[in-house]
Amino acid sequence: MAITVEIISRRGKIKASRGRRLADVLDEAGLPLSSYCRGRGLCGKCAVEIVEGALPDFQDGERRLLERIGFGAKHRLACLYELQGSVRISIPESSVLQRMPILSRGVEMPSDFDPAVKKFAMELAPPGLARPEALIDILAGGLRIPRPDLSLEAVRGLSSLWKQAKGRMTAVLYRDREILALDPGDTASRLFGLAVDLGTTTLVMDLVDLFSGRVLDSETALNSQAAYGADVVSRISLAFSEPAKADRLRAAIIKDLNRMTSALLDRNGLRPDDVFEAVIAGNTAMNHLLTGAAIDTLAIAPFSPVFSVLPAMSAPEVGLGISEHGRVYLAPNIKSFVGGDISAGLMVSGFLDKPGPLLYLDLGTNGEIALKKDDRVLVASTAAGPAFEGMNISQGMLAAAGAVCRVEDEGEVRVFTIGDVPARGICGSGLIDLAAVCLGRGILTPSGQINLPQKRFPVAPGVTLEQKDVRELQLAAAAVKSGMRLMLEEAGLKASDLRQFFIAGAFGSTLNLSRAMRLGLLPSLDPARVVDLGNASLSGARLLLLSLTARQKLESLAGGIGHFSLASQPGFQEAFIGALEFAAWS
Amino acid sequence: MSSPEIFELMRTAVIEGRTAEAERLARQAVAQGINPNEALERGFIPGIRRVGELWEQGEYFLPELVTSAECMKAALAVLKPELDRTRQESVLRGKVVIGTVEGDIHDIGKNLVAAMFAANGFEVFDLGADVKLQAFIDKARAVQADFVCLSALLTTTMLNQRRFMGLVREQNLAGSFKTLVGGAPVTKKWAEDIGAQGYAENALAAVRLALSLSPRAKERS
Repeated sequence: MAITVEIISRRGKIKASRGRRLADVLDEAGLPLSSYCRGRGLCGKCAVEIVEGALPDFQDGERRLLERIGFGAKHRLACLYELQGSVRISIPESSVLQRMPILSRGVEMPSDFDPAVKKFAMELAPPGLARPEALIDILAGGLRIPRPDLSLEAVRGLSSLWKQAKGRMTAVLYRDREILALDPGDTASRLFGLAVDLGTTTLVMDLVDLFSGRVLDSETALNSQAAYGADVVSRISLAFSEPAKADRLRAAIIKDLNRMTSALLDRNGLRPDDVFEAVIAGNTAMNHLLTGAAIDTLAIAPFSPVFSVLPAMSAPEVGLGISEHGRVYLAPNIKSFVGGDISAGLMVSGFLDKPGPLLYLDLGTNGEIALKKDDRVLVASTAAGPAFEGMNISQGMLAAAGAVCRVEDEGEVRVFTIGDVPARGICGSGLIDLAAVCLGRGILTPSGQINLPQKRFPVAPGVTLEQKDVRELQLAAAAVKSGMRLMLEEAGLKASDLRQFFIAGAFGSTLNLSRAMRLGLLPSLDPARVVDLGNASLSGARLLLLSLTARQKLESLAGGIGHFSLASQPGFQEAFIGALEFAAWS
Repeated sequence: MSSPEIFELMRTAVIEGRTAEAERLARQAVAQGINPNEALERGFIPGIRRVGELWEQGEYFLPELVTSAECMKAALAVLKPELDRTRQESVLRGKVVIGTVEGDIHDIGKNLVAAMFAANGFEVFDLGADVKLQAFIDKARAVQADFVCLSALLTTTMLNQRRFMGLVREQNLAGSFKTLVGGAPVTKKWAEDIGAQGYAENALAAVRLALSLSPRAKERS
């Protein structure tokens, strides 16, 4: 005879059969509960109140887990509860599976909370004379896993830890397989991770609570490798020609990351021992320089990396100042220069899940493009140069106070600066605006000529736009534009076929879309189809930190992504030269 | 049509980048029995020179440069066989072997330099991109080149320009041709350091440099 599960404050009854686990029944009915421990009765996150129905005896550790979160005699863990008859239950808000917003803006990408590193508190019975079991087996039984991996160091310390903890201990479990560390007592809620955007210019690090999934704090710094060269290629070249310099570049970035880690830990009253994983999303070259993998193969054609997917590394081996048993995971590199920053962004934006045609553009010193048609994903890297970051422009500057960031045509050219202070220079978004407005007013011709006798345009007192600056913008825009056009052409698509157009990167967020479209930097699309992802690399790192499922999925998909070498396309030169003109896409 | 008139039309066609017109004028010159050398020297080449000036003044950019080079190519395609047929001494100013060095696949800049060399009356042997260093040497010896031009767009592949100079010395070829280097990361100092005979910042500077270094060009100008 069928039995039913009724949920208070919800209409209808769910049909079930005897002997099934309550958690599974709810999951199949579309009501998934938190499953941090994957249904092993170890985390206490799926507690429900049994309002009417059988209340079986508590199982091992169940009462302790429930009491810890303040629940009483009528609560049970849904993952341990076997249905013996119809029940009426009430589901506390805290037990509902949290779908966390990962992206700070644009689309909200929900994610199942399932970090690679987890902590489980246990109360273990000592071995008895009747069954003199090995301590490790008792531990494995407590964790409900078959046979854990354990370091020799942990094996050596296990006996004394057991005595000290009297069987009450917390295990740090990695990917449900490996015990990274054991603490005496219950420290299950004290577990943190780091998500890192390892940029060529800028570094951003988030401190994430791996027990709740919340981002607690964030730290930004400049990549001090920049002292050795502003762009990726100059750093590769340095590391390539003088191996000793590769060590220095590595030391510089490790120092940056450790300084940021310390700042975050200090501000939040934490210790390095509380942090067990860092997930880093960086481009291929940054990943090589961070790990110390030789950069030689990336320095010359065909620009192949040493690694794409890398198993998580030990934190001390990398040099990162988190727990000495902690892990460092790199978002997988895709191909050639298209690295973990892009793979992480593709994953978090849903690009890899959604039906095509889709285009993903990361605008920075290198413009990275990903195009999806049906199930096929192609990526390419274009050397846009640093014009979008205000570099190579006579009076260019990064987006900081005094940078011309917006320009309007109000019968005359009117400029706005960051911080509303007198203009000091022009940043990338300001340059795009300025060119589009000047084009509209005939100050600039579509071929890029400044239509004034002096071949320069006074932007604001002390700030001028030179002819050569326009040329730099043309070159940068043409690299991106021709790259997108060739890829669309290769796939047999038109820009108007794109269902969505994702823009990643800080520059993308400040860009005035209609101006960028007018210049042809972006294809002319319905703005509703354009999704501004912000720092997708960081969001992606967060996702990979919080969801092992996402990580495994990305690892399996990254290898299938194809690389499109723009410079070796027969039509590249023609497309590039043709793209130099300021013109909206037709 | 009188000769001065047609020369002026040739010049204008190149400046305005009208390829079909340039080709038509070259044919007309042949039909009218105008000396092909003269058509080049008084019509087309002054046109491409003017394009160079406009480019340097910022009025013209790469697209204009490319279309004007196309005009020159079209005109030369008509005039060159005529020069050969009449066994006249060519107006050609020298032979250039050019390519992007091994390990580097970027070739737009190199293509422009090649086009401007051709447009200015040099005979150009373009070996393409990712070219083995020895292939430059072999070609230069085979055609008795005056210049070998090496392009490198990456700081990493730039090192191959230095390796090339080493090969030239090893094979005792110093003096048999001049090596010119270029590319985004390349500088005059780099050229001097590695012992190259010249560095040019852009396509026009490359042509000017070659003209100033070329014995044949000097004889004629």
